[in-house]
Amino acid sequence: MENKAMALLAAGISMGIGALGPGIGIGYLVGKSVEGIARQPEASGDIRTTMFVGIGVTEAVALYALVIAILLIFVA
Amino acid sequence: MSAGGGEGFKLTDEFEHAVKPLHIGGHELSFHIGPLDLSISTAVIYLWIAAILAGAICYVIARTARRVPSRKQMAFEAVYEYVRDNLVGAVMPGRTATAWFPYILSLFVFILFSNLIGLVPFFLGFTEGGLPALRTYAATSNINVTAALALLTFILTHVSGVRANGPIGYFKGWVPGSAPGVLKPVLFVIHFFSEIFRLLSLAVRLYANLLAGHIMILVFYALIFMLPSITFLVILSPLIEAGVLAISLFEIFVAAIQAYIFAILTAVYIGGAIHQEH
Repeated sequence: MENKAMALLAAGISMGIGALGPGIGIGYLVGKSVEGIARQPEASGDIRTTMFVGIGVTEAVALYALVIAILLIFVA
Repeated sequence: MSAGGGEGFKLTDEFEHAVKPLHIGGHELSFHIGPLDLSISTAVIYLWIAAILAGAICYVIARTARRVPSRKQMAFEAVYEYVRDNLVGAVMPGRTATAWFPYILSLFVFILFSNLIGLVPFFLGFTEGGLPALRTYAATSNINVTAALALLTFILTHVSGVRANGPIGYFKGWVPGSAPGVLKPVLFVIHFFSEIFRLLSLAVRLYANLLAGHIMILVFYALIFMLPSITFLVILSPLIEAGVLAISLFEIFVAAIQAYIFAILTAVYIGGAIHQEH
């Protein structure tokens, strides 16, 4: 029971900390994209596509944490 | 998702059933050839559905193409042109792009279809309570499927790199030519690990995104079963349904974005291996 409790705690902590980095990263990404679009509205299509790819790649880092959390909850 | 599960609802069961062999008419559809497990599970059925649907729709659209396009034809032409010009064309130079465009487009369409099919609930008969049992499952929310797709990208990257540059030239290209001689082995090892992590991240990104989406939808539905009394149920379940709707809409967006990311990263990796920077 002790181990299970620790695993659940670790899952929560890993998800929380794991979401920090991508949160900051996506914030920067979207902020800079908005700046870029405001400066050059004619390039907004290209910037938006690149932004979405960037978001997808960055967001994956939080999802690695999610996979670890799921493993901790259901396997540990 | 099985509705009406009540007490017996367990989140893990919703995902583990998918890799177990199916039972049809008392026969277990499990096939083994040596060490290979070729059993027909839910995941395999979903892969077949995605492949057949994607192939059939594209075939029919291509066969019935007219000079004055219909709406469906215009939609598919938009996807075709977008992948050709903005996805493959943007990251690969001319002739390489022409050679790899069919593969990248099929990869994109296949992943997009299997992601989207994952959002359609399928009817699976009735539960003991007499309620219809619906289940959503995406083949791409299974690590085995995405790992196979990522492994395909990985192998094609290195095979095409070796074919274009020769084995010695290709592995030399892993290390920048301007690096001092002592550092070269270290840089080679670092690049080797970065290639391995590309493979891992490609597989886990797609799988985790789809799995996270399905878990979010399931957790929201599971909230309904956790409500303590009928009063709460009446007041809160419309809100929960609205939440499920919002997440489902977001998942459609994620399905398209993830297919796009998988396709563009494959194009970038293969293009980078063929035209190495020195």
